[in-house]
Amino acid sequence: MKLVLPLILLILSFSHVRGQQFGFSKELRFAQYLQDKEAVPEAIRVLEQVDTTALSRAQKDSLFYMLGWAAYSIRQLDKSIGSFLKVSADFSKYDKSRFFAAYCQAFQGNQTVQGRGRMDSASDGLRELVLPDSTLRELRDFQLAGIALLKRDYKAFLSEQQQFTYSSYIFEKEEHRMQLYYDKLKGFKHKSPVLAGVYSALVPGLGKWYAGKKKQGIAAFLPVISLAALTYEAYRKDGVKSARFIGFGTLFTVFYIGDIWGSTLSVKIRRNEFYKEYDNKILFDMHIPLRNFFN
Amino acid sequence: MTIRYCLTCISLFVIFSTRGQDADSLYKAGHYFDASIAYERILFDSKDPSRQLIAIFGKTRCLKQEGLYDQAMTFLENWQAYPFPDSSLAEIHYQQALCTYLGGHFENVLSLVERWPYEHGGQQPTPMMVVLKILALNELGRWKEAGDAYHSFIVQQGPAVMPPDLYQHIPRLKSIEKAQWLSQFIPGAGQFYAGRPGEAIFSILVQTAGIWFGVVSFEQHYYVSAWLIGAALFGAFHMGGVRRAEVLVRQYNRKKMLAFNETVREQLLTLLQ
Repeated sequence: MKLVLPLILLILSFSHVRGQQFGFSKELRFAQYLQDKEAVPEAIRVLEQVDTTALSRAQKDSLFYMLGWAAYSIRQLDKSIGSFLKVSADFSKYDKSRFFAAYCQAFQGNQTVQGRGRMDSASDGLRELVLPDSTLRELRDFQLAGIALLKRDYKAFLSEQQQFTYSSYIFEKEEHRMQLYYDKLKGFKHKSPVLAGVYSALVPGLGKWYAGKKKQGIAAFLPVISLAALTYEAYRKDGVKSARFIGFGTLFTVFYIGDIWGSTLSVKIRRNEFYKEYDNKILFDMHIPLRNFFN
Repeated sequence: MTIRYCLTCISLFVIFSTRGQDADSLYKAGHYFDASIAYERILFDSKDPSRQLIAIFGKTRCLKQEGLYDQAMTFLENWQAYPFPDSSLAEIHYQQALCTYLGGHFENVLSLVERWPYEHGGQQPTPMMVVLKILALNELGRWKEAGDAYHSFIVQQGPAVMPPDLYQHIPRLKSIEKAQWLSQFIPGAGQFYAGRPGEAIFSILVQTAGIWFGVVSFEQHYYVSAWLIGAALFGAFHMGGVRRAEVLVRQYNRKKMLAFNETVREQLLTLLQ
Protein backbone atom coordinates (compact mmCIF):
# COMPACT_ATOMS: atom_id res chain seq x y z
CA MET A 1 0.00 0.00 0.00
CA LYS A 2 2.91 2.31 0.84
CA LEU A 3 4.27 1.82 -2.64
CA VAL A 4 0.99 2.28 -4.48
CA LEU A 5 0.52 6.01 -3.86
CA PRO A 6 4.02 7.09 -5.02
CA LEU A 7 3.60 4.80 -8.01
CA ILE A 8 0.28 6.41 -8.93
CA LEU A 9 1.81 9.89 -8.53
CA LEU A 10 4.77 8.87 -10.68
CA ILE A 11 2.50 7.54 -13.41
CA LEU A 12 0.33 10.67 -13.26
CA SER A 13 3.30 13.04 -13.50
CA PHE A 14 4.78 10.98 -16.32
CA SER A 15 1.51 11.06 -18.25
CA HIS A 16 1.23 14.82 -17.61
CA VAL A 17 4.73 15.42 -19.05
CA ARG A 18 3.98 13.17 -22.03
CA GLY A 19 0.76 15.06 -22.62
CA GLN A 20 2.59 18.39 -22.55
CA GLN A 21 5.26 17.12 -24.93
CA PHE A 22 2.61 15.85 -27.31
CA GLY A 23 0.70 19.13 -27.08
CA PHE A 24 3.84 21.20 -27.69
CA SER A 25 5.00 19.20 -30.70
CA LYS A 26 1.49 19.40 -32.09
CA GLU A 27 1.48 23.18 -31.71
CA LEU A 28 4.82 23.32 -33.48
CA ARG A 29 3.50 21.16 -36.31
CA PHE A 30 0.40 23.34 -36.53
CA ALA A 31 2.54 26.48 -36.73
CA GLN A 32 4.66 24.85 -39.45
CA TYR A 33 1.47 23.87 -41.30
CA LEU A 34 0.33 27.50 -41.18
CA GLN A 35 3.71 28.72 -42.39
CA ASP A 36 3.63 26.27 -45.27
CA LYS A 37 0.27 27.74 -46.24
CA GLU A 38 1.84 31.22 -46.13
CA ALA A 39 -0.30 32.15 -43.11
CA VAL A 40 2.76 33.47 -41.26
CA PRO A 41 1.04 36.06 -39.01
CA GLU A 42 -1.29 33.27 -37.85
CA ALA A 43 1.70 30.98 -37.21
CA ILE A 44 3.34 33.71 -35.11
CA ARG A 45 0.15 34.11 -33.05
CA VAL A 46 0.07 30.33 -32.41
CA LEU A 47 3.73 30.24 -31.36
CA GLU A 48 3.38 33.30 -29.13
CA GLN A 49 0.47 31.71 -27.31
CA VAL A 50 2.51 28.65 -26.28
CA ASP A 51 3.04 28.62 -22.51
CA THR A 52 6.84 28.37 -22.11
CA THR A 53 6.93 27.89 -18.34
CA ALA A 54 6.61 24.10 -18.46
CA LEU A 55 8.81 23.57 -21.53
CA SER A 56 12.24 21.97 -21.51
CA ARG A 57 15.26 23.93 -22.76
CA ALA A 58 15.27 22.04 -26.06
CA GLN A 59 11.57 22.74 -26.59
CA LYS A 60 12.06 26.42 -25.86
CA ASP A 61 14.91 26.54 -28.37
CA SER A 62 12.74 24.98 -31.06
CA LEU A 63 9.96 27.42 -30.25
CA PHE A 64 12.18 30.53 -30.29
CA TYR A 65 13.96 29.43 -33.45
CA MET A 66 10.69 28.87 -35.25
CA LEU A 67 9.23 32.12 -33.99
CA GLY A 68 12.36 34.01 -35.03
CA TRP A 69 12.25 32.51 -38.47
CA ALA A 70 8.54 33.21 -38.96
CA ALA A 71 8.96 36.84 -37.84
CA TYR A 72 12.02 37.19 -40.09
CA SER A 73 10.07 35.94 -43.11
CA ILE A 74 7.52 38.76 -42.78
CA ARG A 75 10.12 41.36 -41.78
CA GLN A 76 9.05 41.75 -38.16
CA LEU A 77 12.71 42.21 -37.37
CA ASP A 78 12.47 43.29 -33.72
CA LYS A 79 10.48 40.18 -32.89
CA SER A 80 12.85 38.09 -34.99
CA ILE A 81 15.97 39.42 -33.20
CA GLY A 82 14.40 38.88 -29.76
CA SER A 83 13.48 35.28 -30.57
CA PHE A 84 16.74 34.31 -32.29
CA LEU A 85 18.77 35.67 -29.38
CA LYS A 86 16.81 33.51 -26.91
CA VAL A 87 18.03 30.30 -28.61
CA SER A 88 20.59 28.56 -26.37
CA ALA A 89 24.08 27.46 -27.42
CA ASP A 90 23.14 23.77 -27.12
CA PHE A 91 20.60 24.03 -29.91
CA SER A 92 21.63 22.54 -33.26
CA LYS A 93 20.70 25.73 -35.14
CA TYR A 94 22.34 28.10 -32.69
CA ASP A 95 24.88 29.43 -35.20
CA LYS A 96 22.22 30.05 -37.81
CA SER A 97 20.04 31.85 -35.24
CA ARG A 98 22.94 34.09 -34.21
CA PHE A 99 23.95 34.89 -37.78
CA PHE A 100 20.41 35.88 -38.70
CA ALA A 101 19.95 37.82 -35.47
CA ALA A 102 23.12 39.78 -36.31
CA TYR A 103 21.94 40.42 -39.84
CA CYS A 104 18.56 41.66 -38.59
CA GLN A 105 20.33 43.91 -36.07
CA ALA A 106 22.55 45.32 -38.80
CA PHE A 107 19.50 45.92 -40.99
CA GLN A 108 17.54 47.58 -38.17
CA GLY A 109 20.59 49.59 -37.12
CA ASN A 110 20.93 50.93 -40.64
CA GLN A 111 17.29 52.05 -40.75
CA THR A 112 17.13 53.87 -37.41
CA VAL A 113 18.82 56.99 -36.06
CA GLN A 114 20.20 55.19 -32.99
CA GLY A 115 21.50 52.44 -35.21
CA ARG A 116 25.13 52.32 -34.19
CA GLY A 117 24.39 50.54 -30.91
CA ARG A 118 22.47 47.84 -32.73
CA MET A 119 25.27 47.33 -35.22
CA ASP A 120 27.75 47.06 -32.35
CA SER A 121 25.53 44.39 -30.77
CA ALA A 122 25.46 42.58 -34.10
CA SER A 123 29.28 42.59 -34.30
CA ASP A 124 29.67 41.51 -30.65
CA GLY A 125 27.17 38.67 -31.13
CA LEU A 126 29.07 37.35 -34.13
CA ARG A 127 32.47 37.60 -32.42
CA GLU A 128 31.22 35.57 -29.46
CA LEU A 129 30.48 32.57 -31.69
CA VAL A 130 32.83 29.59 -31.45
CA LEU A 131 32.91 28.28 -35.00
CA PRO A 132 34.68 25.04 -35.86
CA ASP A 133 34.19 25.34 -39.62
CA SER A 134 36.55 27.54 -41.67
CA THR A 135 33.84 28.53 -44.20
CA LEU A 136 31.59 29.58 -41.36
CA ARG A 137 34.43 31.61 -39.85
CA GLU A 138 34.98 33.36 -43.18
CA LEU A 139 31.24 33.98 -43.43
CA ARG A 140 31.45 35.65 -40.02
CA ASP A 141 34.36 37.81 -41.18
CA PHE A 142 32.36 38.72 -44.26
CA GLN A 143 29.38 39.76 -42.15
CA LEU A 144 31.63 41.76 -39.83
CA ALA A 145 33.19 43.47 -42.84
CA GLY A 146 29.72 44.37 -44.10
CA ILE A 147 28.75 45.80 -40.71
CA ALA A 148 32.01 47.78 -40.61
CA LEU A 149 31.17 49.30 -44.00
CA LEU A 150 27.67 50.18 -42.81
CA LYS A 151 29.28 51.96 -39.86
CA ARG A 152 31.79 53.61 -42.26
CA ASP A 153 34.54 52.11 -40.11
CA TYR A 154 37.02 51.60 -42.96
CA LYS A 155 39.84 50.51 -40.69
CA ALA A 156 37.72 47.70 -39.26
CA PHE A 157 36.65 46.75 -42.78
CA LEU A 158 40.25 46.39 -43.95
CA SER A 159 41.04 44.29 -40.90
CA GLU A 160 38.14 41.89 -41.61
CA GLN A 161 38.82 41.92 -45.31
CA GLN A 162 42.29 40.39 -44.62
CA GLN A 163 40.42 37.13 -43.88
CA PHE A 164 38.70 36.98 -47.30
CA THR A 165 39.99 34.05 -49.37
CA TYR A 166 37.82 34.72 -52.44
CA SER A 167 37.71 30.96 -52.91
CA SER A 168 34.32 29.84 -51.60
CA TYR A 169 31.57 29.71 -54.21
CA ILE A 170 29.09 30.71 -51.48
CA PHE A 171 30.36 34.26 -51.12
CA GLU A 172 33.21 34.77 -53.57
CA LYS A 173 31.25 37.24 -55.73
CA GLU A 174 29.93 39.07 -52.69
CA GLU A 175 33.48 39.42 -51.29
CA HIS A 176 34.57 41.07 -54.53
CA ARG A 177 31.54 43.34 -54.52
CA MET A 178 32.14 44.32 -50.89
CA GLN A 179 35.64 45.41 -51.92
CA LEU A 180 34.09 47.49 -54.70
CA TYR A 181 31.66 49.13 -52.27
CA TYR A 182 34.57 49.99 -49.99
CA ASP A 183 36.38 51.67 -52.91
CA LYS A 184 33.27 53.63 -53.87
CA LEU A 185 32.48 54.74 -50.32
CA LYS A 186 36.08 55.63 -49.58
CA GLY A 187 36.38 57.52 -52.87
CA PHE A 188 33.17 59.48 -52.38
CA LYS A 189 34.05 63.13 -52.63
CA HIS A 190 32.54 65.16 -49.80
CA LYS A 191 31.25 68.37 -51.31
CA SER A 192 31.05 71.59 -49.39
CA PRO A 193 27.60 73.03 -48.55
CA VAL A 194 29.18 76.50 -48.28
CA LEU A 195 30.66 76.23 -51.76
CA ALA A 196 27.28 75.06 -53.12
CA GLY A 197 25.68 78.15 -51.56
CA VAL A 198 28.33 80.43 -53.05
CA TYR A 199 27.87 78.87 -56.51
CA SER A 200 24.10 79.42 -56.31
CA ALA A 201 24.65 83.01 -55.22
CA LEU A 202 26.76 83.57 -58.35
CA VAL A 203 24.57 81.61 -60.79
CA PRO A 204 21.14 80.47 -59.55
CA GLY A 205 20.88 76.66 -59.60
CA LEU A 206 24.64 76.13 -60.04
CA GLY A 207 24.99 74.96 -56.41
CA LYS A 208 22.50 72.18 -56.99
CA TRP A 209 24.30 71.24 -60.19
CA TYR A 210 27.56 71.10 -58.21
CA ALA A 211 25.88 68.92 -55.54
CA GLY A 212 24.98 66.41 -58.26
CA LYS A 213 21.34 67.37 -58.71
CA LYS A 214 21.49 68.70 -62.26
CA LYS A 215 17.77 68.68 -63.08
CA GLN A 216 16.96 70.51 -59.85
CA GLY A 217 19.64 73.04 -60.76
CA ILE A 218 17.94 73.81 -64.08
CA ALA A 219 14.54 73.87 -62.38
CA ALA A 220 15.85 76.43 -59.87
CA PHE A 221 17.62 78.54 -62.52
CA LEU A 222 14.53 79.23 -64.65
CA PRO A 223 12.20 80.86 -62.07
CA VAL A 224 14.99 82.90 -60.44
CA ILE A 225 16.18 84.24 -63.78
CA SER A 226 12.61 84.95 -64.89
CA LEU A 227 11.92 86.90 -61.71
CA ALA A 228 15.23 88.73 -62.12
CA ALA A 229 14.22 89.77 -65.64
CA LEU A 230 10.81 90.97 -64.44
CA THR A 231 12.42 92.92 -61.59
CA TYR A 232 14.90 94.53 -63.98
CA GLU A 233 12.12 95.48 -66.38
CA ALA A 234 10.12 97.03 -63.53
CA TYR A 235 13.19 98.94 -62.35
CA ARG A 236 14.05 100.20 -65.82
CA LYS A 237 10.52 101.33 -66.72
CA ASP A 238 8.96 102.33 -63.38
CA GLY A 239 11.85 103.03 -61.02
CA VAL A 240 12.86 101.80 -57.58
CA LYS A 241 9.82 103.13 -55.74
CA SER A 242 7.22 101.53 -58.01
CA ALA A 243 4.90 98.85 -56.63
CA ARG A 244 5.80 96.68 -59.62
CA PHE A 245 9.51 96.79 -58.79
CA ILE A 246 8.91 96.19 -55.06
CA GLY A 247 6.57 93.25 -55.79
CA PHE A 248 8.81 91.48 -58.28
CA GLY A 249 11.92 92.44 -56.33
CA THR A 250 10.53 90.81 -53.19
CA LEU A 251 9.58 87.65 -55.09
CA PHE A 252 12.99 87.51 -56.71
CA THR A 253 14.73 87.91 -53.34
CA VAL A 254 12.68 85.11 -51.79
CA PHE A 255 13.40 82.72 -54.65
CA TYR A 256 17.06 83.73 -54.84
CA ILE A 257 17.72 83.19 -51.12
CA GLY A 258 15.61 80.05 -51.18
CA ASP A 259 17.77 78.65 -53.96
CA ILE A 260 20.98 79.39 -52.03
CA TRP A 261 19.60 77.74 -48.90
CA GLY A 262 18.31 74.79 -50.96
CA SER A 263 21.72 74.34 -52.55
CA THR A 264 23.46 74.04 -49.17
CA LEU A 265 20.89 71.40 -48.14
CA SER A 266 21.09 69.53 -51.44
CA VAL A 267 24.74 68.62 -50.71
CA LYS A 268 23.65 66.77 -47.59
CA ILE A 269 20.65 65.21 -49.36
CA ARG A 270 22.83 63.95 -52.21
CA ARG A 271 25.35 62.51 -49.73
CA ASN A 272 22.57 60.70 -47.85
CA GLU A 273 21.17 59.32 -51.11
CA PHE A 274 24.59 58.02 -52.08
CA TYR A 275 25.10 56.33 -48.70
CA LYS A 276 21.58 54.90 -48.74
CA GLU A 277 22.18 53.37 -52.16
CA TYR A 278 25.38 51.66 -51.03
CA ASP A 279 23.90 50.61 -47.68
CA ASN A 280 21.15 48.79 -49.55
CA LYS A 281 23.72 47.10 -51.78
CA ILE A 282 25.82 46.05 -48.77
CA LEU A 283 22.82 44.65 -46.89
CA PHE A 284 21.67 42.78 -49.98
CA ASP A 285 25.09 41.20 -50.47
CA MET A 286 25.35 40.33 -46.78
CA HIS A 287 22.04 38.51 -47.05
CA ILE A 288 22.73 36.30 -50.08
CA PRO A 289 25.57 34.20 -48.56
CA LEU A 290 23.55 33.69 -45.38
CA ARG A 291 20.67 32.21 -47.33
CA ASN A 292 23.00 30.17 -49.54
CA PHE A 293 24.98 28.74 -46.65
CA PHE A 294 22.21 27.94 -44.18
CA ASN A 295 19.42 26.84 -46.54
CA MET B 1 -12.97 -3.35 -27.73
CA THR B 2 -16.22 -1.92 -29.04
CA ILE B 3 -16.70 0.14 -25.91
CA ARG B 4 -13.17 1.56 -26.20
CA TYR B 5 -13.76 2.44 -29.86
CA CYS B 6 -17.03 4.20 -29.02
CA LEU B 7 -15.39 6.13 -26.20
CA THR B 8 -12.58 7.25 -28.51
CA CYS B 9 -15.07 8.38 -31.13
CA ILE B 10 -17.13 10.29 -28.57
CA SER B 11 -14.05 12.01 -27.13
CA LEU B 12 -12.83 13.00 -30.62
CA PHE B 13 -16.27 14.31 -31.51
CA VAL B 14 -16.39 16.33 -28.29
CA ILE B 15 -12.91 17.79 -28.92
CA PHE B 16 -13.63 18.77 -32.52
CA SER B 17 -17.15 20.06 -31.93
CA THR B 18 -15.84 22.19 -29.04
CA ARG B 19 -13.16 23.64 -31.35
CA GLY B 20 -15.80 24.38 -33.97
CA GLN B 21 -17.80 26.22 -31.35
CA ASP B 22 -14.65 28.11 -30.27
CA ALA B 23 -14.07 29.26 -33.82
CA ASP B 24 -17.71 30.24 -34.30
CA SER B 25 -17.87 32.13 -31.02
CA LEU B 26 -14.64 33.97 -31.87
CA TYR B 27 -16.15 34.88 -35.23
CA LYS B 28 -19.36 36.07 -33.61
CA ALA B 29 -17.35 38.17 -31.17
CA GLY B 30 -15.67 39.88 -34.11
CA HIS B 31 -12.21 38.34 -33.48
CA TYR B 32 -11.79 37.38 -37.11
CA PHE B 33 -8.04 36.78 -37.01
CA ASP B 34 -8.26 34.39 -34.04
CA ALA B 35 -11.36 32.74 -35.50
CA SER B 36 -9.44 32.21 -38.72
CA ILE B 37 -6.69 30.37 -36.76
CA ALA B 38 -9.30 28.30 -34.94
CA TYR B 39 -10.83 27.24 -38.27
CA GLU B 40 -7.37 26.39 -39.59
CA ARG B 41 -6.84 24.24 -36.49
CA ILE B 42 -9.94 22.25 -37.38
CA LEU B 43 -8.59 21.76 -40.90
CA PHE B 44 -5.26 20.67 -39.42
CA ASP B 45 -6.81 18.22 -36.94
CA SER B 46 -9.84 16.82 -38.68
CA LYS B 47 -10.10 14.39 -41.54
CA ASP B 48 -13.88 14.53 -41.46
CA PRO B 49 -15.08 16.24 -44.67
CA SER B 50 -18.14 17.80 -43.00
CA ARG B 51 -15.92 19.39 -40.31
CA GLN B 52 -13.45 20.49 -42.95
CA LEU B 53 -16.18 22.16 -44.98
CA ILE B 54 -17.49 24.05 -41.94
CA ALA B 55 -13.91 25.26 -41.31
CA ILE B 56 -13.33 26.23 -44.96
CA PHE B 57 -16.45 28.37 -45.12
CA GLY B 58 -15.77 29.74 -41.64
CA LYS B 59 -12.27 30.83 -42.58
CA THR B 60 -13.56 32.31 -45.83
CA ARG B 61 -16.07 34.39 -43.84
CA CYS B 62 -13.25 35.61 -41.57
CA LEU B 63 -11.06 36.62 -44.50
CA LYS B 64 -13.95 38.42 -46.16
CA GLN B 65 -14.67 40.30 -42.95
CA GLU B 66 -11.03 41.35 -42.81
CA GLY B 67 -11.21 42.47 -46.45
CA LEU B 68 -8.52 39.94 -47.45
CA TYR B 69 -10.24 38.91 -50.66
CA ASP B 70 -7.09 37.87 -52.53
CA GLN B 71 -6.03 35.67 -49.62
CA ALA B 72 -9.52 34.12 -49.52
CA MET B 73 -9.29 33.49 -53.26
CA THR B 74 -5.98 31.60 -52.92
CA PHE B 75 -7.21 29.72 -49.84
CA LEU B 76 -10.32 28.46 -51.66
CA GLU B 77 -8.34 27.58 -54.80
CA ASN B 78 -6.31 25.11 -52.71
CA TRP B 79 -9.48 23.26 -51.65
CA GLN B 80 -10.93 22.93 -55.15
CA ALA B 81 -9.14 19.65 -55.79
CA TYR B 82 -10.34 17.88 -52.60
CA PRO B 83 -12.79 15.00 -52.97
CA PHE B 84 -15.76 16.79 -51.41
CA PRO B 85 -19.33 16.24 -52.62
CA ASP B 86 -20.06 18.21 -55.78
CA SER B 87 -22.56 20.50 -54.03
CA SER B 88 -19.79 21.55 -51.60
CA LEU B 89 -17.25 21.99 -54.39
CA ALA B 90 -19.80 24.16 -56.16
CA GLU B 91 -20.17 26.34 -53.05
CA ILE B 92 -16.36 26.60 -52.79
CA HIS B 93 -16.23 27.55 -56.48
CA TYR B 94 -18.92 30.21 -55.97
CA GLN B 95 -17.20 31.64 -52.90
CA GLN B 96 -13.94 31.79 -54.86
CA ALA B 97 -15.65 33.69 -57.68
CA LEU B 98 -17.28 36.04 -55.18
CA CYS B 99 -13.95 36.80 -53.47
CA THR B 100 -12.35 37.27 -56.89
CA TYR B 101 -15.07 39.79 -57.77
CA LEU B 102 -14.72 41.59 -54.45
CA GLY B 103 -10.95 41.69 -54.98
CA GLY B 104 -11.52 43.47 -58.30
CA HIS B 105 -10.13 40.70 -60.58
CA PHE B 106 -12.99 40.83 -63.07
CA GLU B 107 -11.31 38.89 -65.90
CA ASN B 108 -10.64 36.06 -63.43
CA VAL B 109 -14.33 36.02 -62.45
CA LEU B 110 -15.23 35.37 -66.08
CA SER B 111 -12.66 32.58 -66.25
CA LEU B 112 -14.13 30.98 -63.09
CA VAL B 113 -17.63 31.13 -64.56
CA GLU B 114 -16.41 29.54 -67.79
CA ARG B 115 -14.70 26.75 -65.83
CA TRP B 116 -17.95 25.84 -64.07
CA PRO B 117 -19.36 23.25 -66.56
CA TYR B 118 -15.98 21.48 -66.80
CA GLU B 119 -15.60 21.18 -63.04
CA HIS B 120 -19.20 20.31 -62.17
CA GLY B 121 -20.21 17.56 -64.58
CA GLY B 122 -21.39 19.73 -67.44
CA GLN B 123 -23.91 21.64 -65.30
CA GLN B 124 -24.74 25.22 -66.16
CA PRO B 125 -23.47 27.90 -63.76
CA THR B 126 -25.78 28.69 -60.84
CA PRO B 127 -27.83 31.92 -60.93
CA MET B 128 -25.43 33.60 -58.49
CA MET B 129 -22.50 32.74 -60.76
CA VAL B 130 -24.38 34.29 -63.70
CA VAL B 131 -25.00 37.42 -61.63
CA LEU B 132 -21.28 37.64 -60.91
CA LYS B 133 -20.55 37.21 -64.61
CA ILE B 134 -22.93 40.05 -65.55
CA LEU B 135 -21.48 42.35 -62.90
CA ALA B 136 -17.91 41.53 -63.94
CA LEU B 137 -18.74 42.24 -67.59
CA ASN B 138 -20.27 45.56 -66.55
CA GLU B 139 -17.13 46.47 -64.62
CA LEU B 140 -15.06 45.72 -67.73
CA GLY B 141 -17.39 47.87 -69.86
CA ARG B 142 -18.33 44.90 -72.08
CA TRP B 143 -21.95 46.04 -72.35
CA LYS B 144 -22.98 43.84 -75.30
CA GLU B 145 -21.92 40.60 -73.60
CA ALA B 146 -23.29 41.79 -70.26
CA GLY B 147 -26.63 42.63 -71.91
CA ASP B 148 -26.84 39.20 -73.59
CA ALA B 149 -26.08 37.43 -70.30
CA TYR B 150 -28.60 39.64 -68.50
CA HIS B 151 -31.40 38.90 -70.99
CA SER B 152 -30.73 35.13 -70.86
CA PHE B 153 -30.74 35.32 -67.07
CA ILE B 154 -34.11 37.12 -66.96
CA VAL B 155 -35.63 34.55 -69.35
CA GLN B 156 -34.26 31.66 -67.26
CA GLN B 157 -35.60 33.12 -64.03
CA GLY B 158 -39.00 33.69 -65.61
CA PRO B 159 -40.28 36.26 -63.12
CA ALA B 160 -44.06 36.78 -62.74
CA VAL B 161 -43.66 40.49 -63.50
CA MET B 162 -41.04 41.36 -66.08
CA PRO B 163 -38.58 43.89 -64.61
CA PRO B 164 -37.57 46.95 -66.67
CA ASP B 165 -34.82 46.15 -69.16
CA LEU B 166 -31.84 48.04 -67.71
CA TYR B 167 -29.68 47.43 -70.77
CA GLN B 168 -31.97 49.62 -72.88
CA HIS B 169 -30.20 52.50 -71.17
CA ILE B 170 -26.60 51.47 -70.79
CA PRO B 171 -24.40 54.29 -69.48
CA ARG B 172 -23.11 56.57 -72.21
CA LEU B 173 -19.47 56.93 -71.43
CA LYS B 174 -17.61 60.02 -72.52
CA SER B 175 -14.52 59.99 -74.69
CA ILE B 176 -11.22 60.97 -73.07
CA GLU B 177 -9.73 61.91 -76.44
CA LYS B 178 -12.68 64.16 -77.24
CA ALA B 179 -12.32 65.95 -73.88
CA GLN B 180 -8.60 66.49 -74.53
CA TRP B 181 -9.19 67.85 -78.03
CA LEU B 182 -11.92 70.18 -76.83
CA SER B 183 -9.70 71.59 -74.07
CA GLN B 184 -6.86 71.91 -76.54
CA PHE B 185 -8.77 74.24 -78.86
CA ILE B 186 -11.46 75.84 -76.66
CA PRO B 187 -10.32 76.59 -73.09
CA GLY B 188 -12.65 75.00 -70.53
CA ALA B 189 -14.66 73.07 -73.15
CA GLY B 190 -13.24 69.71 -71.99
CA GLN B 191 -14.37 70.40 -68.43
CA PHE B 192 -17.84 71.39 -69.71
CA TYR B 193 -17.97 68.15 -71.69
CA ALA B 194 -17.01 66.22 -68.53
CA GLY B 195 -19.98 67.79 -66.75
CA ARG B 196 -18.07 70.20 -64.49
CA PRO B 197 -19.18 73.73 -65.49
CA GLY B 198 -17.66 75.34 -62.38
CA GLU B 199 -14.18 74.11 -63.21
CA ALA B 200 -14.74 75.04 -66.86
CA ILE B 201 -15.58 78.65 -65.97
CA PHE B 202 -12.57 78.89 -63.65
CA SER B 203 -10.29 77.54 -66.40
CA ILE B 204 -11.70 80.02 -68.94
CA LEU B 205 -11.25 82.94 -66.52
CA VAL B 206 -7.64 82.11 -65.64
CA GLN B 207 -6.59 81.49 -69.24
CA THR B 208 -8.33 84.66 -70.39
CA ALA B 209 -6.63 86.61 -67.60
CA GLY B 210 -3.27 85.27 -68.79
CA ILE B 211 -3.92 86.35 -72.38
CA TRP B 212 -5.31 89.72 -71.28
CA PHE B 213 -2.31 90.42 -69.05
CA GLY B 214 0.04 89.40 -71.86
CA VAL B 215 -1.62 91.65 -74.47
CA VAL B 216 -1.93 94.65 -72.16
CA SER B 217 1.69 94.31 -71.00
CA PHE B 218 2.83 94.00 -74.60
CA GLU B 219 0.94 97.14 -75.60
CA GLN B 220 2.51 99.01 -72.69
CA HIS B 221 5.96 97.75 -73.78
CA TYR B 222 6.40 95.43 -70.80
CA TYR B 223 7.69 92.68 -73.08
CA VAL B 224 9.29 90.54 -70.37
CA SER B 225 6.12 90.63 -68.26
CA ALA B 226 4.01 89.86 -71.32
CA TRP B 227 5.95 86.67 -71.97
CA LEU B 228 6.93 85.52 -68.50
CA ILE B 229 3.62 86.22 -66.78
CA GLY B 230 0.92 86.48 -69.45
CA ALA B 231 2.11 83.73 -71.74
CA ALA B 232 3.38 81.51 -68.91
CA LEU B 233 0.08 81.79 -67.01
CA PHE B 234 -1.93 80.97 -70.11
CA GLY B 235 0.38 78.11 -71.15
CA ALA B 236 0.44 76.51 -67.71
CA PHE B 237 -3.33 76.62 -67.24
CA HIS B 238 -3.96 75.55 -70.82
CA MET B 239 -1.83 72.39 -70.52
CA GLY B 240 -3.20 71.76 -67.03
CA GLY B 241 -6.73 72.15 -68.38
CA VAL B 242 -6.15 69.46 -71.00
CA ARG B 243 -4.88 67.03 -68.36
CA ARG B 244 -7.67 67.96 -65.94
CA ALA B 245 -10.32 67.29 -68.61
CA GLU B 246 -8.93 63.77 -69.01
CA VAL B 247 -9.09 63.14 -65.24
CA LEU B 248 -12.63 64.52 -65.01
CA VAL B 249 -13.88 62.31 -67.86
CA ARG B 250 -12.36 59.25 -66.19
CA GLN B 251 -14.09 60.16 -62.92
CA TYR B 252 -17.39 60.74 -64.75
CA ASN B 253 -17.21 57.38 -66.54
CA ARG B 254 -16.35 55.52 -63.36
CA LYS B 255 -19.24 57.12 -61.49
CA LYS B 256 -21.68 56.24 -64.28
CA MET B 257 -20.46 52.65 -64.42
CA LEU B 258 -20.71 52.22 -60.65
CA ALA B 259 -24.23 53.65 -60.57
CA PHE B 260 -25.37 51.40 -63.42
CA ASN B 261 -23.74 48.33 -61.87
CA GLU B 262 -25.43 49.10 -58.56
CA THR B 263 -28.83 49.26 -60.25
CA VAL B 264 -28.22 45.99 -62.11
CA ARG B 265 -26.99 44.31 -58.93
CA GLU B 266 -30.05 45.38 -56.95
CA GLN B 267 -32.44 44.20 -59.65
CA LEU B 268 -30.75 40.82 -60.11
CA LEU B 269 -30.53 40.12 -56.38
CA THR B 270 -34.20 41.06 -55.95
CA LEU B 271 -35.07 38.62 -58.73
CA LEU B 272 -33.08 35.86 -57.01
CA GLN B 273 -34.85 36.45 -53.70
